[in-house]
Amino acid sequence: MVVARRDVHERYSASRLLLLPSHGDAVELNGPAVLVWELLREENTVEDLVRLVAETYQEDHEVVAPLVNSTIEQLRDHGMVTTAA
Amino acid sequence: MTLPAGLSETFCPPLLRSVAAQGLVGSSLVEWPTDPLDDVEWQSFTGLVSMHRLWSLLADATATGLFPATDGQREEIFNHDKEAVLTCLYLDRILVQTHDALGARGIDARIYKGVSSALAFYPEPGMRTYSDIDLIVRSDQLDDLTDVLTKRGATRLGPNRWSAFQLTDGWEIDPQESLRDGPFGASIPSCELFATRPTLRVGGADIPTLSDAALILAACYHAILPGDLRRLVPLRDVAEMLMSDRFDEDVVREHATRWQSSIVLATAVRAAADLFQMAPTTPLLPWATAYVPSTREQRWLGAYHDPNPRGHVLKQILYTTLAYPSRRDGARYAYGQLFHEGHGSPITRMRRLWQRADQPGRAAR
Repeated sequence: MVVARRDVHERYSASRLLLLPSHGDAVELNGPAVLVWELLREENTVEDLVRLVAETYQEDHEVVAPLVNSTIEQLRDHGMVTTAA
Repeated sequence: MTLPAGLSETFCPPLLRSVAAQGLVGSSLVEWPTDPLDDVEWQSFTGLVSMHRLWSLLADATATGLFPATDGQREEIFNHDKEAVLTCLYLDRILVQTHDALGARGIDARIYKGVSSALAFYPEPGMRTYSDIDLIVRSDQLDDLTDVLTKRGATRLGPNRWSAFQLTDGWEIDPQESLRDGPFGASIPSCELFATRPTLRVGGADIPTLSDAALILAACYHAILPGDLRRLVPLRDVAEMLMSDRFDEDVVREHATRWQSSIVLATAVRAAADLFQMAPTTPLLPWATAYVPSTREQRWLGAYHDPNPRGHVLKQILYTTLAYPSRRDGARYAYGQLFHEGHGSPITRMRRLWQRADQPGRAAR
């Protein structure tokens, strides 16, 4: 399970979300990626994330899955998510 | 409508006031153009938006379609907004790091103003941006704080021991002993500011701040007493606090009475309600409208607004000396003003104060 780190600084700005980890550079999220981050704050599996984003945006799982995975990878690269048991 | 002291039609035109009121619950101020501003209007308008640090509220008005903008203007607005919000995030990160360093030395520093206002009172903290870190610190811990900050590479920006510090990356930390200089600040017993230890969540850390009442009064001092021309955000803070679930009218009034600043509270509430066209039933507004200040309160407030800079400085020193709850603290303050800050005889010192009075923005501390 992947979860958002609690020490990430975050602020909504107009329709986007800006995130800053405790070390490193900021990341800007828009649209469905903002929802992915919000869901990562709770205990959800990647499958849960795909299902919930697909439901919200009324899209097929196959369309949403790459977006969810790439968002998680981007967040992982910036040290903003951690793997939980 | 009469604009509050420090604001003028030139620096605060109606459109700018609408931007400052964007998203404010209880405000009926809605005055948007029907078409995008032309280049000349845009130039002048954005200068004022920058001056008052209103990019995030303008971005919100643009995103929701209230403010009409060309594609180029939209891009400029959102870029400025992003820059302002990122500044806040970097400041928050520095705040957490600084809090850890200060805590390791046993220093009890409390955040107030910018970050506290944003996190405690705004429905969306991104609407309230800030550009430095304001801290309240016990006077007897200032030397320790100075030591911690200078060891981290910070430099003091002025000769005063309470001057702000600039960190190596350019950000500023501004420690203060009280919510405001002059008599209104002196009349606040330091122990009351530290009597409780509420916290705000910043980047996963619990950062100590002041009580809600102290934060609200700090916003009122900032909005009403002279400091600079950027009054719109402090007045928005006051309006936001009045409409907040955290606002407790009785507690705030009781603090204002004890700290001899009811005149500041009443003036700030009236000014915010007037500026943002808030309903007469707004909390505290009926009390503020009916409030009759004492002669002493009027004298104190008048000293801050004295157009004669020499009269301003000398009255500030006199009233501040008398305002301290303990005579010993008042005497210590007066001694510091007359002897301690700088060198020379008392006469030389007075002459220096007299000359300093000609420099705007250098009120007695």
